[in-house]
Amino acid sequence: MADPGEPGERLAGARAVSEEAGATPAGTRTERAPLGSWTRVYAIVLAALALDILLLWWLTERYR
Amino acid sequence: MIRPADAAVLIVSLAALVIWGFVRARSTRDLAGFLVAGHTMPWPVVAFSVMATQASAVTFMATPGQGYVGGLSFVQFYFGLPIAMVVLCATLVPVFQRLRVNTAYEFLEARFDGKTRTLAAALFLVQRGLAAGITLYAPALVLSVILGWDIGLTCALLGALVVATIVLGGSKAVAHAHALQFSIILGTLALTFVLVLRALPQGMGLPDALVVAGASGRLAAVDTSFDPASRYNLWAGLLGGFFLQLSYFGTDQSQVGRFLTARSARESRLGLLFNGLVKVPMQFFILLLGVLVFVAYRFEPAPVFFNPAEAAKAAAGPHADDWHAAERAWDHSRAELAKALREEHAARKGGDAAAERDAHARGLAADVAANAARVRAVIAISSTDPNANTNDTNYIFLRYVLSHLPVGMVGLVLAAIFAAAMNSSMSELNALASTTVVDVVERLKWASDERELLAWSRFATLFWVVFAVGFAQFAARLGSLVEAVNIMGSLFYGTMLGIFLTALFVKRAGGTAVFTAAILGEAAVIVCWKLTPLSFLWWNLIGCVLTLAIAALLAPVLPARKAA
Repeated sequence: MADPGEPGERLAGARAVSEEAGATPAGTRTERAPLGSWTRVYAIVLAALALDILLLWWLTERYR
Repeated sequence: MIRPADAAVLIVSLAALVIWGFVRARSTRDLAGFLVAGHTMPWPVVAFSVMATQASAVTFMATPGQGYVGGLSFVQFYFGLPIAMVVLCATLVPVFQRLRVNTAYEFLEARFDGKTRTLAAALFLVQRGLAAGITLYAPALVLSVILGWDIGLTCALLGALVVATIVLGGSKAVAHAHALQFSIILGTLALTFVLVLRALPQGMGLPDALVVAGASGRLAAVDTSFDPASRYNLWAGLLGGFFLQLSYFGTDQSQVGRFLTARSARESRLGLLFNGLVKVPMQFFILLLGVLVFVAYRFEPAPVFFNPAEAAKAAAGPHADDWHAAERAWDHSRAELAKALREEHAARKGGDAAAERDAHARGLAADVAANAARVRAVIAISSTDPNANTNDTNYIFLRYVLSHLPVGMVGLVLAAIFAAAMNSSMSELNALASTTVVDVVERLKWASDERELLAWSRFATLFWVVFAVGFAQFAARLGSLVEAVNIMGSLFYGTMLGIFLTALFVKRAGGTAVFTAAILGEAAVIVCWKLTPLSFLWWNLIGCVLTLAIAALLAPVLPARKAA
């Protein structure tokens, strides 16, 4: 049984189109996350959104 | 009419865009290169490509117009986007990149079965195939009216530019052309922003312009009230917007195809997260440009109706007297308004509160009179032609640009609009071709080797361009085009997202369970569309949650097949 996000065996037809012979699947490489971890990057994006909303709310109230 | 210098800038810019994409992609000789740029793109190119795909010409023309008419409230539509980018990066992106798929729907056959993959691919082809026609038609319509060109010819020109880029260079050309096109668009908008600021009356800067805009309610960016029928408020933006953006970026091949061009999952993630970081400020900036155009027009003569074709018809039609009377009343009231606003500004600067209040009251009265005159003008338009489009939002920004910007700059803005039209169309048509080849031609074994598949890819691109240009001729009868695109997308996105989320999070669900759930979820969305007043943003949430919930309920009854 496949795990969530881990699909089972791929179909031969799909593989023929999608993979080049000898290609290394990129997702299997160990890749360094910026700032040490992806969680930290996600937190920055969400914090930036919160800041955006806060500034826009301030603008709304300031010029109401 | 366009001046020769502007025409030269326009022609040179358009040629440069096509040549640039082609030169950067001249090594494209294989199918993976044609469909997903051979998975070789660095994250900045991915980021620009993703952003350029979403920013269609309608967005480019209509967003400043939206700022002019409705102020900053539209920015809330994008509040769900950064959250969607984070969820997408944490879930689907690693899976897609690990499998090295060329379309999102390939993943569904691996996880479920052929019929689920076919259902999702078919939903995409129907929805995006029709939307591609509107994507071409909407900017072509505005450009043809403003420039006095034939609409069919403008559509065909756009189609030819798009097909030249894709057929010659494939997805790699699309990605490189996107990066250049989006840079032109952002640069042009920034330059226009400065020029609009300089066009304000002497002594008036950005802070003063904000006071004028705020007094007219144009700076109300955040609405915290909860109203399911209201299109733009904080909650609709965060919740409905999140599901819409997650569906669009995670299941629509025109976006999935963009971030699949990345050389690794890391580059895909960085491109998408950069989009999440800059999207809200960028939309704010474009809307603010529209707000500044609104302020600039408060101090100078503005047309009573911005669509010149409809205005000309009314001025020459059976209700010409009503039209001219409305136009005169408008001009008079607007002159009074400009005078009152100047006096109010001077009184504020001089610290004379009584004079400021008096001028403000006169300004309000003149504004009410001007609005009444505009209503009479719109009535004259619809009396002349009951089928006339009485919404002139898309024309506001272009009218301002054509009448205020210097020679050369107008050509650049027009090139940017063409570029924006090409951006979305290129991604759509590349995605339609990819899905046709990977999920239909290859799956049904209509081609025997990669060379034949590459030929099919080029043929499929041509087919979809012809289909889009053909449907664009019919699009005139669809009414509001922006609304049509959004409604069409929201009708299918929720269900498609539900299928993908089931794949990731409902471990036991099999193909038949998710297929049944998707059919029921889609039926529920259609019921919402036809029988309820719910705003379209909520359909995305309903379709997704229902598909996911029904698939989870059916999972024990219709479990997944055990892997061999």
